[in-house]
Amino acid sequence: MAFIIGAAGTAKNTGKTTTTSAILEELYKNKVSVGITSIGYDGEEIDNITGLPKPRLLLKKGSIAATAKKCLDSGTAEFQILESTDIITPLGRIVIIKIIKDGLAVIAGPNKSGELKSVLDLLTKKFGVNIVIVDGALNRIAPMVVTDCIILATGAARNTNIKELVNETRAYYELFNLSEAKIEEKRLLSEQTRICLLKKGRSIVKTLEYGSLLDKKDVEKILWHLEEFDLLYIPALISENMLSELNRNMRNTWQNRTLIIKDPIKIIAGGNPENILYEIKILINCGGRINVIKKLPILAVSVNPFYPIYNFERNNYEAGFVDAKELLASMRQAIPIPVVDVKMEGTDLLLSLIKANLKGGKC
Amino acid sequence: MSKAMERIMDAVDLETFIVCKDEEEGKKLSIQLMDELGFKDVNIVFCQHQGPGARVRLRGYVYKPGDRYGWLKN
Amino acid sequence: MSFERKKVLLAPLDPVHDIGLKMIKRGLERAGHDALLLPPDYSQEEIIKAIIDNNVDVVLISRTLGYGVAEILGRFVDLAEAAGIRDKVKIGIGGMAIRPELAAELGFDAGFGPGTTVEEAVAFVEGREYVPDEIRGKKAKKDITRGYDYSFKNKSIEQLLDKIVDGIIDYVSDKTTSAIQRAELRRQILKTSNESERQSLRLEYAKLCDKIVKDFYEAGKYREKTRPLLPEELKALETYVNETNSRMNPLKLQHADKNPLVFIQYGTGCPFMDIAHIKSCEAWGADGAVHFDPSWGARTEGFFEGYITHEEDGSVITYENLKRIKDSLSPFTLWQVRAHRGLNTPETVLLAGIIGADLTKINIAYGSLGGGTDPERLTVDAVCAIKYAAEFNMPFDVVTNEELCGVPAYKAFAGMLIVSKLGLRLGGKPILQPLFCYSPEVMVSGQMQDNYVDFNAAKILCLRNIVNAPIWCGAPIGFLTQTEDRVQSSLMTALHASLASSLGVDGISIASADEAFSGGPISVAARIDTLKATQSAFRFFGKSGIVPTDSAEKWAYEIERGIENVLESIVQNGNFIDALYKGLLGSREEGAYPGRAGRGTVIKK
Repeated sequence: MAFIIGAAGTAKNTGKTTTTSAILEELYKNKVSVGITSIGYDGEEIDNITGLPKPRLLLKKGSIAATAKKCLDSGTAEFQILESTDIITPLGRIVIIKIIKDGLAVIAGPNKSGELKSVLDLLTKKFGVNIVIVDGALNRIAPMVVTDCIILATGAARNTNIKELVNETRAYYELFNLSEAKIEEKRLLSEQTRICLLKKGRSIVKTLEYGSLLDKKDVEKILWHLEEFDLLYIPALISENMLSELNRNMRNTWQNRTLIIKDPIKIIAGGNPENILYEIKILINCGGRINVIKKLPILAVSVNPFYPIYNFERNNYEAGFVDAKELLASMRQAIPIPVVDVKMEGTDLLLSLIKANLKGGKC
Repeated sequence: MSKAMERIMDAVDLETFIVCKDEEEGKKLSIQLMDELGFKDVNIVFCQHQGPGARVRLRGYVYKPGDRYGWLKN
Repeated sequence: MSFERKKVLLAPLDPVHDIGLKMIKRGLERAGHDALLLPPDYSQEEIIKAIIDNNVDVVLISRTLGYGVAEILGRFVDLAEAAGIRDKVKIGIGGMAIRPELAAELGFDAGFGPGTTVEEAVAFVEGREYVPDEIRGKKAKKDITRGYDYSFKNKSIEQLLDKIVDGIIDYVSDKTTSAIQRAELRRQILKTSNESERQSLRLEYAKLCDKIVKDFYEAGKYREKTRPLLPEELKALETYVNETNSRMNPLKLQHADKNPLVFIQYGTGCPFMDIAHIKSCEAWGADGAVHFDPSWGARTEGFFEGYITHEEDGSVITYENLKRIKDSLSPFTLWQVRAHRGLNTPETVLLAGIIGADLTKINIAYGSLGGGTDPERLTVDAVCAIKYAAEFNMPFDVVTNEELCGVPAYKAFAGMLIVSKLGLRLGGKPILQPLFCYSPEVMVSGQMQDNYVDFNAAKILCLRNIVNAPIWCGAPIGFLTQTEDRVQSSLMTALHASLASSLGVDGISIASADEAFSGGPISVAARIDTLKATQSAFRFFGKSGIVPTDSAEKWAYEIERGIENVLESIVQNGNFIDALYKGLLGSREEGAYPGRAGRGTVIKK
């Protein structure tokens, strides 16, 4: 069974590509065949924004990759085109390539979830890849919804205050770890694309106009039917402000009511993770329940002490670092899953996690 | 200085024809004109007298290199 | 294909960008689409809501990039994905510093950088395949040296040049100068990230400088009439450049393929005014800009550091000043930093190369006969400078400005060809830059009594008969034919531009309409005058040409013979540097005086 890992970051320069490279290296050592793609344009020599050097991906013979046509000339790896897809990106059409001679490569794959899904299906089903790594882009997490689990890359580039960074990462961890809904609820709701109100968790009493909860009018509509439902399903985006608005009005009525969302990304994309977690805790403290249809677990957290400092006099960016040991230790204390600094220590730990998941067929 | 004047990148050129008897008078009137219009840093870039008067190009610098330019404000 | 009317939402995430979106809105409406422009104060969630409510097909976002902005844009795309609209709605991003690579990383369907046309945005909306480079190619940097193999048609001139170049290389091989040592120190200063090491390198550098520069490094003293620029001034400049770039849609001067590239020259003293002028010229169609430094800079050993403004003509060369100017240029603008005279030639070329200049300017003969630098000193420095130019792959022009002192064209050309051959030998790419103007030589000998065409044409024909090399007419064209009358001045520039184009040259440097006015700084309006005049002249002549009289061919032949005679006399004399002192490449009677700055400073290794 194939296993898909996303390397998602909380900001630029948090070490997504470094993490991806490290995992690749370990997988190669263990003679595992791998597939790779990216939801961004990683692998360039110089970072697009800060002008600082960025690592490029070393791909070995036999690897299968999905990348945009314009990137093909940039690397040193020799390849053979296996298939040309219908997906067009700003850097041209996405093609599936097989590496025939080791070398560096620039990977820029499909950048939205629908297209990523079809590319992943191609890689795993048609070309039989066992492990696919999806390299992230910036702070973008949304397309990772089609992966099996993610490695969350964070670090000083997101926030140089270690305490605040740890708190935020903890919030991410808890949000990604929200428990899944009951099987019958999943069956009933997974095809719904608009906000649904249900009674006794079984029958839909009302379907609203939109799938997302984005403004007060939508919240008001839910409140009009307050007496008619005990389960609220929101399939698309929920903004932080509207979650808070919902709480403000339902503080006394969450008791015995359930909020189900499609996946953690639908609320994480909506705002600041700590604020969202705070609202969720209010919901739970008021006696409510929150579940997701599909969980997207974090396999591990990778931390990076590096951050770019803008030098005004020279009009460029320079490298800065927070205390790497302190960062690692504080993060480990706060989060009950593996935390690694891929630059400071080996990635054996990540690899053993991946192997365990591969054998167990779950994540 | 008026607000619009602050948006001049460097200089205002005034081109016209002054009725006068010779180039010397043309130049005198040119300086007087720019003075009346309130320009402080005035140059006669071009002045040529023929018959009825002088074709002139007069310049009032609003900003010279190294000044604090009004258009560069935040 | 049938027309499909699209619903487009335009959303500024940044108030500055309103203008670009308004232009695109008009273009989309003209093309028959529905376009809705949101006010700039909408939150990201409100924009998502507007996309859903209006059921739009395409969204165009505008935002200037800066640190942290990428994350904001990335979050916007995530919001769109989470809201379930990403697969249905195409989203494009436009703004300063946006490139296709960045659009891909941010998760957009297309990225539009500075210089994007309304047509390009309409093509995206209509779903015609997005081909960024070809569309953007409308204004791209051109390599002036491309297509030239530097083969010599006149073999006897080539042999003479080779002998002279052998002599130069042999002469300098065991010599160095403080300028060469400073350049190497500068490279280390820029390379090191260790502040204490940088400080000690600076002090070492200071020891090799004149007192006025030494005082700066040791006591923080600035030269008179210069001052450091303040951080708030720099910030304001950045805003100005960003705003200007966001609405930059440059004109094109060339009408026919053969029209040359057009360069302007700047050096107001203040880097900000320089940038303001360059940006205006870029917008009005200039292809390149040439940096002028102050004349005292050429006579002073050593460079200052930091952002420095200057009250008089010429903009002070420091790493920071040059970098700031370079960063302000549009990507299509060719940029030249002159290093053709003076005591800091190697370091000037090094800085230009490190910062990413496209071109530089080196000429030993002019620099030492008209530029005031000692011939021996400049020869040693120039060899090092040419090596830097080759290292950074910067073509350099060899200008014959000594013609303006009164040196006849054939002598000045002999000097130009020697430096060009030296450049080729050292791996460089020289560009011939003959003066294209009313020179003192012709005022005396009368070759321009009837017209300004024949003798200028003769110069180009002569060079073409000698070597297959790029030609860039300088500097500026039409010099000494212009008066203070701006119409006359612009017309003279435009006619010279047309003649240059008719002769098939690769580049020209043009003056402003203020060229003959010496009472104050050049105004930006005067620069636009000559750019517009040149554009109109290119339009007028198109592929047609200007036909010189028979005198052109005759004079071309005479100049060529003259060059050969000069080169022979130098070979017989045995030493190029000595020939410069003796006046073989321009004598005192002709107005050429071997420079004294840096005399006796060459060091034996």
